[in-house]
Amino acid sequence: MIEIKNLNRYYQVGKERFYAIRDISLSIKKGEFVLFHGVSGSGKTTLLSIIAGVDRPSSGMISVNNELISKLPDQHLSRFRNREIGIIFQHYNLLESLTVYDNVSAPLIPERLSLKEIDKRVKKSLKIANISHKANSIASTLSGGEKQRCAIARALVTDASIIVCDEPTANLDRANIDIFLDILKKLHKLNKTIIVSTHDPIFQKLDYIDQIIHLEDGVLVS
Amino acid sequence: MNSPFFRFLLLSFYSEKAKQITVIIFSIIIIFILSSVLFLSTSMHYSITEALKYQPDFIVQKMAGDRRVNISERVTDELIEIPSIAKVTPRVYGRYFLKPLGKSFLVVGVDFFDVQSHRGLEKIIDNMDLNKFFKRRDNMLVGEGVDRFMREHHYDNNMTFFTPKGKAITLHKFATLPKNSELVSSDMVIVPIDLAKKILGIKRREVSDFAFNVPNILEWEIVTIKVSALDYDLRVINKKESYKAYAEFFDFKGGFFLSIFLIVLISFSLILYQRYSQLYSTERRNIGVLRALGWSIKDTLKLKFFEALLVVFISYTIGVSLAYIFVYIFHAPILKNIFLGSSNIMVEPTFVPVIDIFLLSSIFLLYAIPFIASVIIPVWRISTTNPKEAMR
Amino acid sequence: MNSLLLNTDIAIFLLGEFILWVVLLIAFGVNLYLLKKWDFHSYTNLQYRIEKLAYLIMVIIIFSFLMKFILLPYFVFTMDKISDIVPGAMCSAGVISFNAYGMKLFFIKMAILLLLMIWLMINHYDIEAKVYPWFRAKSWLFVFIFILITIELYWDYAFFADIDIHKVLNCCSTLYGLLEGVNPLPFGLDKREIIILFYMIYAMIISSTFGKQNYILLIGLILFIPIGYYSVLYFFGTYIYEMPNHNCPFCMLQKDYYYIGYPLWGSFFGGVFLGITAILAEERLKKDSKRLKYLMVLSFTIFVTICTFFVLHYYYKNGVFLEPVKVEMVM
Ligand SMILES: Nc1ncnc2c1ncn2[C@@H]1O[C@H](COP(=O)(O)OP(=O)(O)OP(=O)(O)O)[C@@H](O)[C@H]1O
Ligand SMILES: [Mg+2]
Repeated sequence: MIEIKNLNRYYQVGKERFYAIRDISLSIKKGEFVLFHGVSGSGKTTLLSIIAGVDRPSSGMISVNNELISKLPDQHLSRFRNREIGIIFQHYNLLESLTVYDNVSAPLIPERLSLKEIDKRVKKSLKIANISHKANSIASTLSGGEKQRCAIARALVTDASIIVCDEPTANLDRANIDIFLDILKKLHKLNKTIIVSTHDPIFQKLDYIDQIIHLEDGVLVS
Repeated sequence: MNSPFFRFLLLSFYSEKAKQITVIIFSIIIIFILSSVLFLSTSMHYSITEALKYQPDFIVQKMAGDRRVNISERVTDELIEIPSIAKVTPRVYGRYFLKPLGKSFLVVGVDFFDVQSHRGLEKIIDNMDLNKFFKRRDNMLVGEGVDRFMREHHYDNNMTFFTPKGKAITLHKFATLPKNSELVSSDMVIVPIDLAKKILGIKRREVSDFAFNVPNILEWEIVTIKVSALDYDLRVINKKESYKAYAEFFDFKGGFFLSIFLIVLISFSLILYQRYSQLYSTERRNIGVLRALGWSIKDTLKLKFFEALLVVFISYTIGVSLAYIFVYIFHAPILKNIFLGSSNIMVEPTFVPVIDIFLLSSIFLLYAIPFIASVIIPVWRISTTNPKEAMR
Repeated sequence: MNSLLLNTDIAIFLLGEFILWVVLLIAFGVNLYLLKKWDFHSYTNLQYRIEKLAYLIMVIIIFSFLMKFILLPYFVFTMDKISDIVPGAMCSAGVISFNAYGMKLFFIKMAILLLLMIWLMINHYDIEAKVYPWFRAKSWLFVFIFILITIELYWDYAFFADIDIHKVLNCCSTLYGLLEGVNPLPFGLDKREIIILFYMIYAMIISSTFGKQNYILLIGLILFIPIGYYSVLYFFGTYIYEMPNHNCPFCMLQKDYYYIGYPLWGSFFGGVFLGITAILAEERLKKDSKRLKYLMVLSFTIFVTICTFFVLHYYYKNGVFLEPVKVEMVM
């Protein structure tokens, strides 16, 4: 359950304030599949970042799973990101010199789990993301589609209830897009809340979308 | 400590090896120099303490102005009267200058039938065949440096000395003194007492100075006072004073090196600071990603500080080991000369490995505190990278 | 210039303390800035930057704490070493009492370590809480600690600069030696009583820890400081030296006694510090601090075990306990 009220995020440019998003209010229920849609520069990534606890709002209220995250100390906000959010970045953002396995295990390190527990969880999410066969490859050697599946596995490994994806299909070819959509569908069935920011029209054709949110110059248009 | 964290630490450390390696090499050089100097000075210190063990407790000299002059043998009788002094050994020694070459030898006269009085020489002389030594009246024992000198100048086994009056005395090399004995300096020539007096031009009834021992340290002070009271121009030196003089000399040398090292350290710190402040875009991005994945500032700080500590420990271990090999196995070439000055060496270091926790922690503190102090701000800066960086 | 300041070990010690002070000075400046600008409820970039700066203070304090933790035994060791060249001194006891700074310096070092430990404890709970409830408390504490550290640095320098290696000192046997007819033990106790008390207070500390009675624990700790100290000085120490009349807290730090003084005093003061910190956490911050308390119990148990070991070891070897002999000590 995500609740957003009058959310603003602005940047101070000289004496002016530039609003990346302005006065956004919305709510997303658990298990929903939500699309953030808009042209480049409309504020999709900004809104997504704030929901993911990666960026902080300039004002307004946001609560995720009953946790007020608009004003949390780093220790708590990080724990929130770790437990509640799985992020799939636009450029995958893998740790290029590590193996797929170690990339996927990275979010579990601060959790102080045993190596055995980590191994169990990593293998499980590698399997869901269909990348088990590449577990021991160095990330930089993977193809674009494999990189993304590795990123998906990493987003799943903490068993977060919310998965956010920033422009997930921007760098993929048709075949890989289909694979990706398959995985998303699987996750949707697992009752995960899924938020995708995109300007790719392919998502709008999907029949299991629950909500489409249009952004224009940082403002919500319905 | 959880092992997944250390596994991850090592992996990411290894993947950044290009960045770490220059810092490690730099650190190793610094630690190597630092530990070599400290090892060397500790060894010297140790050698001197050992050597002093063989020195007499007291030495009594006659002074003329600030110069030592020869003293009449009769003073012995006065010394013996002091209750704590049981036995007095007259000593004869002096420098013999080879003017054209600018070299000098230390000529020491020894009473071979009273070797107990020469602490430390006992061992050497006991192993010698005295009968053979006295078959010739012109035998001498030479230090290893003198031996080398003789060979270089083709003296074979005989060398001619000139007394101050111009009389020539040719001496025959009987044996070379073992190199690693604490008492013996390499420029030493040992001859029987009468011969030494002749070479050095000391009158028959005079000696260089007197030596005696007082076993009870508590009596030292009173003995010093009593001996000084015998005559206005007597100087009394006890062992503790010469130990202190040596210690001060080494502290001075050490202090000198320390101040040079301080300058090196400051430049090293600046290099480190700059090196760690350099924006490695991948490093920054990786930390941003980890932060976005749920690592808190505390977690990334821990990662980055352990990385810095790893650099500290790796370079410390390697640097100290290399210095150990350099000093104790190769006997610190070059450095030894810089440290002691190449001219007349007082005591040849014995290079007995004297390493204790204290010395090791000295090196550690002197290196680790400046190191971490200079990287602390850059490391903090990188560790607090905003997770938002990962969304770009 | 005083030659002792050129002594390598002392120079390293002073340099280390100085560098730490410089780094702490940076933290101190940042700390003042934060105290002025801190406003947790603000959404400004400034506030987020400030929250990050607070972590800089934290790492600097952790670093200083660890280094000072190493520098304290190093300081003692250095004094031991220079006792070789100071006439009359045979261990640190002589050196430390050479001038007025020695003892003060030792106590301020202990106080700083304790306060730093308390700061770290408060900070730990502060950044784990949701609104930084103790931010100002810990910041003011740091201001105080920094003032102490500045004084410490000056005393560090003054202490070594003032030692004259040509003056003859008294050493432990005259400083701590039994005075004829005067009972050196506190509260007029005799030796048997103080040993019984020693073990009783230890038991009291353990039981109040597990019984969660903080005030009893606090009383136990306060009693244990003098009782523990004097028991070692006048009873357990003599078994370490195996000399009935040798009462010195410092000689046992030397190599001749396998440096046993370091773990012994380390575990003793460590236990006291951990205990005080834990009680503060529970009573003032209302936070459960089991970990600290278990560490305290562990620390004291090590301490008591070492003490007891030497007595039993002596008894096992000789079949008797040490009896103090009344002799006139010469030195
Ligand atoms: N640090 C910043 N300082 C100033 N302006 C910024 C900053 N970060 C983002 N912006 C601005 O905020 C606006 C929204 O950016 P955002 O990244 O959310 O857009 P987007 O919808 O994700 O675009 P795209 O589809 O290209 O990814 C943009 O105009 C951008 O220039
Ligand atoms: Mg975007």
